[in-house]
Amino acid sequence: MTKNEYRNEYRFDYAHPEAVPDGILPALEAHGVLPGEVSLLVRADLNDGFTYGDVFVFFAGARFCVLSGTFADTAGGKRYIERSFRSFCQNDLSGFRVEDQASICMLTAEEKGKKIFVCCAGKTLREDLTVFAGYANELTGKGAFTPDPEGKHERKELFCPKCGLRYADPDAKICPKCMKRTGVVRRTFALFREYRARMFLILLALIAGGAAAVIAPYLSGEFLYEKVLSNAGSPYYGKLLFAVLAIVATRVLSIAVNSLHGVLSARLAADMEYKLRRTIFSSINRLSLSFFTSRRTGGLMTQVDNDAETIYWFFCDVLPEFALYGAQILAITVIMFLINPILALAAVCVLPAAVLIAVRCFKKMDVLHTKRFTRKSSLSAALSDMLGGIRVVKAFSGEEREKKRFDVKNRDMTSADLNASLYNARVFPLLTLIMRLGTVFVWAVGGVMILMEYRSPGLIGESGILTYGMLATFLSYVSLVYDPLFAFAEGILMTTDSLNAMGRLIEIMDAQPEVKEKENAVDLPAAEGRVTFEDVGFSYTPGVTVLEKVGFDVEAGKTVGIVGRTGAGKSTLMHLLTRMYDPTEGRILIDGVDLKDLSFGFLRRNIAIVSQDTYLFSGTVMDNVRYARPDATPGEVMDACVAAGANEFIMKLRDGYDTKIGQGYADLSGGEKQRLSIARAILTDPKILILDEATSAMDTRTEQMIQRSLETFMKGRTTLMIAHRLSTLRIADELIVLDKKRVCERGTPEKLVRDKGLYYELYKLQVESMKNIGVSEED
Amino acid sequence: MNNNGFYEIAGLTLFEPSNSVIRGENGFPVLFTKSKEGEKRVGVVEAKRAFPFECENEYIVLEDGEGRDLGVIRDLAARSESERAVLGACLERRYYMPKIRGLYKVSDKFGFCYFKASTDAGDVEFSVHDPYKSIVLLGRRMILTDADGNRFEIPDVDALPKKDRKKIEQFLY
Repeated sequence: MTKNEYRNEYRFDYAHPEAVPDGILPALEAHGVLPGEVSLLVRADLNDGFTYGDVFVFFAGARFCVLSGTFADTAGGKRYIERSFRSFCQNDLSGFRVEDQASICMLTAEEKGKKIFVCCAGKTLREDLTVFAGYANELTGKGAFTPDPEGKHERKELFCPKCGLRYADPDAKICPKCMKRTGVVRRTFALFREYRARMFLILLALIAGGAAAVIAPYLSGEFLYEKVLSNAGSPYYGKLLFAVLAIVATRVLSIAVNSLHGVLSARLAADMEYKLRRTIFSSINRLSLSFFTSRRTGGLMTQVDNDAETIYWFFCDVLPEFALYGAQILAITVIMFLINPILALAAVCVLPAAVLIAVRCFKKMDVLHTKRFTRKSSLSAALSDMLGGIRVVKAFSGEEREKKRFDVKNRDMTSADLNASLYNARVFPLLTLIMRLGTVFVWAVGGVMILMEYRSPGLIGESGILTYGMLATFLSYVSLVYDPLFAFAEGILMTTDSLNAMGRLIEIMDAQPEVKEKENAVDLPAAEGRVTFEDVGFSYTPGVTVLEKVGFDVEAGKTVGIVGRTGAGKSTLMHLLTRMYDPTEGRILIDGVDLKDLSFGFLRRNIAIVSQDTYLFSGTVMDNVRYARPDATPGEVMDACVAAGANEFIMKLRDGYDTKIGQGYADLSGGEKQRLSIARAILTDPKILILDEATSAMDTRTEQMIQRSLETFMKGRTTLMIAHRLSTLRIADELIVLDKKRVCERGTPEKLVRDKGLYYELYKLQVESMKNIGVSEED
Repeated sequence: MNNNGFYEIAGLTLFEPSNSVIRGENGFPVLFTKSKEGEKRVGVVEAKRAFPFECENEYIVLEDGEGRDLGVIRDLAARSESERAVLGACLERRYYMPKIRGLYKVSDKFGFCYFKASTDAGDVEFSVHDPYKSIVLLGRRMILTDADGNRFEIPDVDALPKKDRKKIEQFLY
């Protein structure tokens, strides 16, 4: 039994954590535990000695027990094989906690103040253990616990209930194994409804081309030899002319149809790829920030680019060609059987083996090509890394090292390339040979049949009579069947790729943004700007909390500074206020209305953030500032830039506000970028302004100058400021100090200094460092 | 340059047998500092490798229950056998990764890579997202991190049976 099957065997139910799996009842009984006594039970999956198993950790009566063992299939059915049992007195225990190890997690507790080991589990069960630890602490502390208050531990279904396979996206709940492939194709095809007529035309063109290809051998073979050249007398020249004209006509038709197919395909390809890229991009674009910061980002660019091409390929090339080649193979086979069944059997007998071998070879080829592709990407990544960091390379004389690094990647890429090419060179002649074996068979069998007929006429019977013309026609058909077969084998592999790409497309189209706007979201007519955090808790990864029970209230129009050590959760507070993420506990209110009830439009209009990471898009200075409000006039943009202290450096740029900045254009310093970012925020004219280390990259003189402007701008607006440089916060009415995930102090700077808490500590450190460089407090 | 001074500024102690002793308590390491006045119990500590892939028994950082770094043991070999045993157990747990012995199946679907493998801990199924990021090759050692953060290792990809190695060929670059 694999770990995955165990996983579905017993799931910790947050609302009913006392449930005991039937399989362990005999083991419990053996240790004097009555099932009714169990008040809280969780399963871990690592036995002592690190083997997968089923460890049950539970409270029963006054005892806390750890039962280790494994469910195993025995002759008498599935049984629980116990390995060990430990029990503790519940009253001696406290401090249950889950500790993260590099690859697993560990549940520990304290017994009479001393740390004890409870069990280990894979990280998949981390959330279960964390909830269990919370309940256990309540139980040992208060004597009782409330299972899942308000259903806040809503578990995401991570695995397909049908097959146990993990969902690529738990929100979309699409199981790649159970999902019907036809359904994927149908849904993707629905996107191209508007192109149906053109796709049908392409299919018609292909069929016409295919028909011409099928007729051609007949005209230049049996018809020419048997029906025209064998006749003598006057009609001979007329028939010959007709035959030649028919051959020319089929060729011309074939060329015309092929060219029509080419034109139609090219146009459709462009339109379909455009639509697909747009669909994929807009699907991704609507998702929440967490989607982009999670594991998914790696392949996003590739996804937009490659998947569009692969999907288009399927509908434009693979599918019509499948239909055409399928029909062609069928038609040719029927014709071959009609011409001569014995010869047809000789030709067909090698085909299944040839197709099988071809599919295997293509599979291997696919692996080699993937390898070449990944090494090429790795080489490009190394190159871009090197060129991007050329200043560092030069500064540390790393040219030689980089040359070696590049050399290794280059060699890897060359060898992958060589392997793929060598394989192609080896396999294709072999494949052709196998395929051509059919022709050899036909030659051999056909030759024997003609000789037999020549020596003993009538020996083979009426249906077996074979002429040279028939054999020539037959051989043309045999050669015609190989190309579609090759294409068929290749198409089978391409289909897998295309179906995967379609699956990804549907997955992304169905993915739900974590932060959603309510259907009946409110758009307040005028915001005052009062901000309230009510017992807010948050974690980026389940179980690892960043904020716990954070509560404070900022009156409209006030300026509040947020202080704390690095990693205290200050920026997270701001992410929550701008609804980049939603709190996992508690709520945030603006003017007494829950943030979740307010429309995105209201939030974006009324809250502006200047974050520590400023990003400039490729475009002019004007475009970048106007990103905040595209309808702003040049005058408004300039006003904002003057207020942000950006006008001075902008006017030094060659084209002023029309200077191109961003990637590949004029490079701005960190402080200049920050000033543009402040200008963006000012242009929004928000009721709530968030300044997250907004002036950290500026020199003191510039910072002071901008702060004077900002002070004027901040009048009548609620402002939340984060800064490590405490002098930056001197304009704040009040300070909130964050420590250990909570608000630990609050008050005016003077009060906090008097209280001699954490703020005082930080303040003292900064004053001391100033003294060290000869600046006194009075200065 | 006296590097030890930097440790002092950072509030870290370089733990030597002369200034510290580690004892086991319920299987967890407990740090005691030694001075002229005698031993002083600091508390239960957690041991971490500063270079988990490069140096398994050197540069071991000790942190307290609150996650604060207390100091560094530069070389475990300098410690007594009992100290090595208790710290070793702690490190083994922290860096435990099931070792993959064979691969039953590796399939790629929707950008997820599904593995069915046999490990020294038993048979396992896991899924890796974004394989080219989550599968790391350190020389011939392969570390695979699944969608939940569980890690598995193939100590030597060349030692895998040939048919199994073929299944992960695309990640061997």
